[in-house]
Amino acid sequence: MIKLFHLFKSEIIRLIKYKIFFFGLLVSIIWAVIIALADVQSVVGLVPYLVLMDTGMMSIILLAASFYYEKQEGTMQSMLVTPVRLSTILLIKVAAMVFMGIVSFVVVVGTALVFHDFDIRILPFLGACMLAVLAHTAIGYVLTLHSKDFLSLLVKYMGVALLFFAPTLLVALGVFSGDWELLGLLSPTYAAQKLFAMALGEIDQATLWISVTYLALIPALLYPLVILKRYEIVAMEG
Amino acid sequence: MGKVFEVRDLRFRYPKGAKDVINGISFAVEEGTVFGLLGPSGAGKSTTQRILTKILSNYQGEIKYWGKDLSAFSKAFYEDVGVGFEMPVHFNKLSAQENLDYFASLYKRNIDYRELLTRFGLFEARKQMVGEFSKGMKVRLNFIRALLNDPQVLFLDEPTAGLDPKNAKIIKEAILEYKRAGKTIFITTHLMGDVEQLCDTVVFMNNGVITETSTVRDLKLKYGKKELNIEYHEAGKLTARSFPLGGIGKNREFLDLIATKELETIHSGETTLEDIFIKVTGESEHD
Repeated sequence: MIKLFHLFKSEIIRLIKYKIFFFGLLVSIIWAVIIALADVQSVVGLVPYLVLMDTGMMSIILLAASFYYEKQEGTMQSMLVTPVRLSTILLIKVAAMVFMGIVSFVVVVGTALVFHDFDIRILPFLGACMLAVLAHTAIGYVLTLHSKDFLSLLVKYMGVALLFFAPTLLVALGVFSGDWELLGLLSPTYAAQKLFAMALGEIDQATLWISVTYLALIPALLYPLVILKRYEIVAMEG
Repeated sequence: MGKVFEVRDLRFRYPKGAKDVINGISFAVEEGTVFGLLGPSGAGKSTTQRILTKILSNYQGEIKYWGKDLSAFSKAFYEDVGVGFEMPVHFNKLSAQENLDYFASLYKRNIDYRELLTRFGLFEARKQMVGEFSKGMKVRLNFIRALLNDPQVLFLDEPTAGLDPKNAKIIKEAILEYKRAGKTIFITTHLMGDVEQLCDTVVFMNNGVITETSTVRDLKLKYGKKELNIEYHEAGKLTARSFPLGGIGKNREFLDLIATKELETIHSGETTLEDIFIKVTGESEHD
């Protein structure tokens, strides 16, 4: 346990030194400024979207940046010749991304609560936020581990971002409505968005459980079945 | 002395490879020795080291580590093993100290690396970002990193490649000191100077097969010419002569020559390891 904590601390230090933590925090601070300046009606609508940006698509980019630094420096291969299991190393990296998600959550939601008077269910929102990070980092790892370089990852990322945000747009445009809206939950970003809406008291039980199960299944299946094996191969290649 | 590694009929092919890159090699690494695996680029040295360090699996043949099947060892294997990669491996935006702290945290057993930082001339720069280090500093830090867990077996891939003579000497002295402490060192290199100064046993590889296994001394005896070469001055000119070593003390011509001429140099005809490398592998060491 002490070793895990030490590894986690080292990973956070690494993210700080490589300014990955800084850029994540900077984006959250920009959202916080927007929230502080907006009126309460706008904030109620804005907060879930802004937290979603940070914990969803943003976490994929930050993870990819962290990954390519390591690949470039060859440190991934050096991890293979240490007593620490690759699964533990991955777990620490994911925990660090979840930590960044929590920091972002605290900055954005904290600002909203300090500057505006509105009701929000903090704990369910935080839980949804962590699920969103877990699901999106899993997808981020799949994209990153199957991309030759950062540029090819960005191309894939753009495609995935378009796909994941499509349900939000289609619902907003009225193309998806009623039961068809459930199809939108196939997008983890949209599923997370629905969970975030729950924090403001606007979700039915079916949508809630479908979203929770789906977001939990993504990391639960992708990490052991796809990511771990692929991570080992990429690390071996150096 | 026990056998640290016993390798029998090792074969390996990369998953997407068309043919085996290791073709049935066998050798043993004795405890407390420096074992050199030599050969030109692409000979299979690094692949062999990657198999012995368990980075690569799915090999054919038998590898025993302290008498037990290597594949049976868990990640705890690395508590006793240190690996220095050819390319220095560090987090460039962390300081030397932060790098060492990070990697030290991965092991149960740690040495006090500050003494090594001092010895390798890096103590003053310990808080400097590694990305700002020169190549020599990075290589020295790489070496310290491999020693962090006080390993019983140390793997070094081209440990002095690209270093100036002063830095190379520091690394080589440290390797010999490690050996004197009873540890085992496995070196892959194509630098014959290192081999001559460090290795107890040398194995030459080429195209995935072992072409020669011996000691530096025996190799020199085997491939060297048993002759004595003399340079001397005669009539204002520098002249060279060779004499067979056998019966040299009774060779009247030789005895007369050393008694009457002004000698410039006397050398035995032993060959250099560079020459042996070319003979054994059929390639130049820099190919």
